[in-house]
Amino acid sequence: MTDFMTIKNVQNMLDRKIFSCEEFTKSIFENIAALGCATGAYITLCRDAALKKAKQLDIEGRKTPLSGIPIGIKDNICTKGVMTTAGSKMLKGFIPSYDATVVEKLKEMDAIIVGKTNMDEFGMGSKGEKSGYKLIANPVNLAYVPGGSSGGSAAAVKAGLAIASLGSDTGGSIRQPASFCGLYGLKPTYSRVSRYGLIAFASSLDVIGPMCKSTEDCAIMLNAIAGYDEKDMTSSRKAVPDYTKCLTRDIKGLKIGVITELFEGVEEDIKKETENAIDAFKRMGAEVCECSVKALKYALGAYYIISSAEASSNLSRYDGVKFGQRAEAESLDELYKNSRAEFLGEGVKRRIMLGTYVLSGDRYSMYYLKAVEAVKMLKKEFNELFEAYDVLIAPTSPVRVPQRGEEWEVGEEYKMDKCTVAISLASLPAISVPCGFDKNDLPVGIQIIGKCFDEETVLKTSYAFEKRGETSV
Amino acid sequence: MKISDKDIEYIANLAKIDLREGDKERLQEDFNNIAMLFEPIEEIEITNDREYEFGELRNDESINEINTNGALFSVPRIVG
Repeated sequence: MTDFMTIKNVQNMLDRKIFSCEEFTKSIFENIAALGCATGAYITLCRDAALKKAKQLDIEGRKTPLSGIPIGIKDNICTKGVMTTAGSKMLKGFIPSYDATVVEKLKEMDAIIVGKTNMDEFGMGSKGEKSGYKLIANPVNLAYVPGGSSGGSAAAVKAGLAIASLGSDTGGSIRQPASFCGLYGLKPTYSRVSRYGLIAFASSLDVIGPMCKSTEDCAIMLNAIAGYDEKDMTSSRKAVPDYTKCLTRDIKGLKIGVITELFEGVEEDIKKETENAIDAFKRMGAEVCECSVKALKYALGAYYIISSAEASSNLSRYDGVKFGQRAEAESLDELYKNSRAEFLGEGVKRRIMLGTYVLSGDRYSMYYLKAVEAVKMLKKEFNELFEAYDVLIAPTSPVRVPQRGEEWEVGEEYKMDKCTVAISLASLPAISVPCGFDKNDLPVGIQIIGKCFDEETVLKTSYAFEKRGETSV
Repeated sequence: MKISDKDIEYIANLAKIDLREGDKERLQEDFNNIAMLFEPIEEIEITNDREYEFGELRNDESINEINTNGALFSVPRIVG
């Protein structure tokens, strides 16, 4: 199984009957049997349902672009009848009685759900080492982390344990693991994709998006999952275009802004690969200029204040009574406290407490309100930039892929999100595109950022970069 | 900001989290480490506090469109 196995290529082989849906689905589960343990990509598998669906498709025939395509679903996205834990022991054994809207849409398109991919607990982590179940490894080199929090979704696609997957991104959780594993990871505009059935981390930032082996696959997946949903009051009513129609190699005259602040403190080999990518854009005829976002200095702090504040509110339901596992206790208060102490991981407890702290007493005006103000400043500056530029670019991660088991100070780990959080705070769409390798031969990604609801230009730029140097047929 | 062990105890109680052996010291160190990320934010001045008061619930669906950028959410203050 290689990077050649894109949705587009598998569609082609299924249509030409090189293999049947059932044979192909079986081969995916054989790969999982061989590599599933080493990568730790999945928490739960849906083998029987997947094979049944594949057999049915072989009889009925393929009708949509995703018919018979094996897809992994991040474990914080609800799947009817299939355990959904958000990577937390707190939700062990939780079996939703409904599908998230994105899952419903994929099923309607006859996609084959392979299983639920491993993740950092409740989406809180940047390395993929904070799952409550098992560690995840980077399939490019198993000694390294896959990134987080959608580490399992990235590992599954890279290792050939799914052809595409769904991840979720709150502050970089799709883009950063995509970068670390050499994949394309698209965070759509906030509200472009329904969040109904997504286990909430920070409701004003959470977005579901695809992780794939090509730009075209991202476009196919976005076509399937985007759109208004009456079950999510924040989902947008804007019409959904056909994202595959915008994929052309011609970006001559495209105005690209390079965000200078996001290159500060970036490791040299990553900076070099990103600069090589910028040169490639210039050679393709794009007009590239440096630009600046002054409010970026507030972004990391604002992100951790807002996301932790929302997390402390969203996760208050996991108390052993309303939701989640229940610990032994002699009083109600003790039951709440013991359940949360026993079944929530250290990173999650830290963020809940951080959120509680910034919302309590005077800290509300000292931190939370100021963070909200910082978001306004960021949005204003980005809006002004998009009057001059079609897209903006920046590195996806300021650091090279860390080795598994490395001890990092909390503040240092939080700084890994430096290049992605501002884009989340401003609700913008962005894709991470592979652009080279770091000094350890692990992948490096570049981020292409668009204005709100302009996923088309983001995908078009990504596609042109992906196909650079290839001759049109 | 400097976060004391008393702060940690107070927050844990508000967040209904039982601190186990060694938790308090570790969390205090972590929080003081994270607090450095918040320092730039402190220079921002809020000129109009009233802007952040809770507004009326919206019942007109057409208004949703302009507010689908996350601005809909307002996290309640924890009184402590």
